Amino acid sequence: MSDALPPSAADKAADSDALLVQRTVAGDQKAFELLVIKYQRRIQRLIGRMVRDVDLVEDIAQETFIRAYRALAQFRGEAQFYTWLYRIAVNTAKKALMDLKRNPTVSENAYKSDDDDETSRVENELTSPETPEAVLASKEIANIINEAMQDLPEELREAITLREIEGLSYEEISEAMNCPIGTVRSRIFRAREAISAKVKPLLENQSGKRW
Amino acid sequence: MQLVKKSADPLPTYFMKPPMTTPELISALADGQSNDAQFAAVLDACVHDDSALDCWNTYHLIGDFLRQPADLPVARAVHAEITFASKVSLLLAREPLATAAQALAAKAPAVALLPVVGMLHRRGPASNDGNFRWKLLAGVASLAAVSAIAWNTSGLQGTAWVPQLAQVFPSQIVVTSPQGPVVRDARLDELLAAHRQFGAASALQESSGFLRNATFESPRNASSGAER
Repeated sequence: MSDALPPSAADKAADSDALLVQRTVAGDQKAFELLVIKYQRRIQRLIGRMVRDVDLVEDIAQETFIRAYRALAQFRGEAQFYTWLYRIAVNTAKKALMDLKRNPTVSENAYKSDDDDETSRVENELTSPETPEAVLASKEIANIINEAMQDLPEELREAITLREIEGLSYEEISEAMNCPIGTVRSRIFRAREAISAKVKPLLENQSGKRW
Repeated sequence: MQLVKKSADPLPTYFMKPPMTTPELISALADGQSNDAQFAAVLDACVHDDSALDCWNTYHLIGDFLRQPADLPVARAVHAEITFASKVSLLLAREPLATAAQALAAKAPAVALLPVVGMLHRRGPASNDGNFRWKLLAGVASLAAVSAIAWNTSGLQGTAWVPQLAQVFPSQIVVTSPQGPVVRDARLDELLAAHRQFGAASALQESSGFLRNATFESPRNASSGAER
């Protein structure tokens, strides 16, 4: 999993996941919705590596979260929640691909071959199902975030870089920046708010929805 | 409000630290830095305020974009992510409280007989299940209780009083059985449906589960294998 956090910060992230899982098991569906929002991009990206059809990617992703919700009572917490969710996503995608192969009316282009080599991977990117608008939208978001990062005061940029990119825990950041943990929490929050303020108008324009 | 020590002086001064705002709490929870009260506050905010969910989504979106390798294209337009979570929420809303119902169904099979005066049994199988004598005694006792209630209330009602067989709560249904009136809680149907649906349903298919009503069977009917 290329987008997994390093172990130190992963432990803390797993704590919040464990809390959300516990609340879901207790009957709070809103807690599970937070998990969906948190992991939807990673799961869709994972499935997108296996399945070419964009609509099918979304269907499989939805099915993944529904299966995870139903099986949550059996989740023992021995592995991290995302690790468990990852396996469900892979199994769900494989099952969908097998069902597609059995259905002769579905185009072969709906799924990707398991043995794609480097050449075909590049070819797949060139002929990927992502619309030009979607690719452009993603690039715009990435540019805005990068610009917002450059505009941050140094201590805020350092704090959020250590957290999000380097994956350090608050304790480790506190030690690295020689400041209290409360200050670390405040700096990361202020960095996120500053970046959000620049990203939200773009998201609002793309979705047509007011924030 | 939290008291925060301002300095290490022999006579330290304190100032009141303002409480964390919802976005601050969400930011802390995203990094696993929340205590129980803060966690509960975030969930409560997400239930009542869509902007809290948007905040949670935006913070994680920022992290995903910062961590994303340059050569991996993002599969979906960002605005589609906002609706994806909503779609999953709609699907989850149709699901029964899966985990709670599943655990309950696994531990406590549906109880066939409930007391006539509406009490919901959420405990495990009754000790007298399968023992006809005890069931008959329970039915007679229930009928006696109903009769006592009817007798007490008859003097308070007008001439057009119709015997009330049971105090029925909105979720309960009274059915007639050879052993007397039986109050069946409709919520049991939900648990039974949840128990049956887990093996068959998926988000891509219609549920193939069916409901079987809880009934009170006499040993004669049970031994003959008759199903209701």
